[in-house]
Amino acid sequence: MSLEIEMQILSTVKKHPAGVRELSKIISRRTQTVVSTIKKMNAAGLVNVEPEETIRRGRPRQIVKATTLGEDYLETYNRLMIKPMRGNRNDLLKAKKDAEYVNRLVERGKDPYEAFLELNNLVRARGNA
Amino acid sequence: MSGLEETLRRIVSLLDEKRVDYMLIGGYALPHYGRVRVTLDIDIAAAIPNEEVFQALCGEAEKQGYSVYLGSYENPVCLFHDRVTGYEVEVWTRPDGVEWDHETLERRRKFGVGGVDVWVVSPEDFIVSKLARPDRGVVDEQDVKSVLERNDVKLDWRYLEERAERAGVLALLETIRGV
Repeated sequence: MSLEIEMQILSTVKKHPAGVRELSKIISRRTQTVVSTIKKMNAAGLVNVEPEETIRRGRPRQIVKATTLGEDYLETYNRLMIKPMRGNRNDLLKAKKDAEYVNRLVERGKDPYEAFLELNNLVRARGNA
Repeated sequence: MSGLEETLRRIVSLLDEKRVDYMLIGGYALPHYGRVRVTLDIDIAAAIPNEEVFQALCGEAEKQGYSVYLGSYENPVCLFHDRVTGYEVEVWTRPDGVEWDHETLERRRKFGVGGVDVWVVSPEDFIVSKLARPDRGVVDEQDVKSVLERNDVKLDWRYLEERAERAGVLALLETIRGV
């Protein structure tokens, strides 16, 4: 959920920098949620929070702006949403283990292709039986 | 020589005879660069320049004991059923996810398989083809991860990132690399 809110904030402030209340209205989230998310994003370098330049009296409004890193982050997120991962972390860790197994084979002077042929011939032979 | 090796030897010999540039793609390219797993298809990308060459290849294949299915130059893939060994080979004229150009051919690598030299897609193009294929599944992402984790496979990262960027899968590649 928080990633989704981060992306809503980034895509909003990328188009035009905004204050917290305005943001809260645009993305339809509670002000408190927006404030805490912005604090995290600011600490991560995704947004800058700067006082608005104004000639009005009183304390200036705090304006949220996307940083270059924030814009890159948003772009990457959008690309991933278009082409989402099919697997999860565990699937990839399993593949990493498989590769480590092959690395050990190679270290011991074994040809992975031989192992591959052996495995595939075995499976085909069982399938034909 | 196993049936698989014999099938490879026969199809490679046929393509060489007809002077068709080719490279092994898909699961049979995997053990050279990544993990060892079961795969059912032998996939070959063939640089067939025109209908005439395609028809000549199919004709010669029939003579040498293949039954050719979906044998049209318009199809991105056709099936060569090897009646001698009983195996099937998918011959791709326009392989999924592969940017099929001069550099792809230049970068392919030659490996000895059962006494036969076989051209295999480069690891970089293999990775991009796995990520960019429209029907990409979990297994394809695992294959990519395994290639990235092999100690003995040196990757040209500049080329890989350039191709991945062009195929719109650079972010995916970076995500898989980071796990």
